[in-house]
Amino acid sequence: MVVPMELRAPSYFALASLIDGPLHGYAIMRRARELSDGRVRLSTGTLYGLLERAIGEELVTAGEPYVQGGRQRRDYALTAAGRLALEVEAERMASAARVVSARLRATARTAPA
Amino acid sequence: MLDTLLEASGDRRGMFVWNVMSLVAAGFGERARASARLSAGRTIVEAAKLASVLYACLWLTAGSVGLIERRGWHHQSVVSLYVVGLLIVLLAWSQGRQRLAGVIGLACTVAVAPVVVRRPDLLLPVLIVQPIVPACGLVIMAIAPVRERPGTVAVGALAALVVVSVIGGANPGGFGQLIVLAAASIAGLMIFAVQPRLAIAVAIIWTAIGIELIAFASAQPARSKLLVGAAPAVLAATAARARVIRRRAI
Repeated sequence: MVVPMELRAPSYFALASLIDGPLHGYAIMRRARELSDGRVRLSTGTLYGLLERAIGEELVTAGEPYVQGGRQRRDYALTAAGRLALEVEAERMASAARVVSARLRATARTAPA
Repeated sequence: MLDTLLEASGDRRGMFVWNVMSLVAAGFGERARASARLSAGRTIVEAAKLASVLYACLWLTAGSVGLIERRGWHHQSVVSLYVVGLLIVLLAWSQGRQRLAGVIGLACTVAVAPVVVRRPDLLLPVLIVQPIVPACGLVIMAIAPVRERPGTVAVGALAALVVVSVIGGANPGGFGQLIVLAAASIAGLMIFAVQPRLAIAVAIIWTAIGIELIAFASAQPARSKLLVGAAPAVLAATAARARVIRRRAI
């Protein structure tokens, strides 16, 4: 069984930005910031570093370069393995949140005022 | 990538600098991952070769300083030949000719061994450690050479270091050699995260020096033990570094 790749916050939101379809680099940076409510601000180096690793792990594919509005672009798309990695990471975080929330609710009744 | 960099930076110089630095950091990160993909054995083998190259630089410094102090090649024919031999070793290494460097280095070590052995002030552990530690790296170079030329910056830095050390080393106490070792130690620490080879090589030499100090019943045993622990400590740090880098996480 292949152990899913662990995703750190910048990678998580960068890959999540590709759920709705392929995007080029700057669009990924903007979308990741929107999805994370401004908490994740990807620098160019961080973005291309994590994209390189994601391509190496076959979580993302890179399209052919093209020109748009005078700028050189290349779109990146999520693969099935990338979607699975996102699902696993989302479920892991949700499970962790459920555990903590349940304990907080349980102890709220008996917590000192 | 360039268009993304310019778009992300907008008109802000600070953002542009931040993005450029992040690209540089990402490049170093990729190099670190590439070096971590090598097996531990391969890393140690390459570090041993580098240690023998550093030893050659140290002895070249000492030999050259000795020749300068005694004013002339003709007074010290054995030392002169030895210095020439070391120069050939370093030249061969700088051109990626590791087998040639290893063979000539071993020949130099064997040739100078009888001279060293005859010195009454050297204890047996020193006689064992001094030739054996660099000889290991030279043997590996001779039997398992890698057709890999060291970087121009590394070769230039080593050459400059030896020249500066010879100029500054015309003092008793091996001050010139200390310059070589100190500079190599600092460089090794600075690039450890990206490439641990130099740090391991320098640590091997410090450990050998520590063993020699213990053999001489050094008046500062604590310092000697600290030096002996250099190689094991750096190897442990290298293993930890590889574990962190190889974690399945992006």
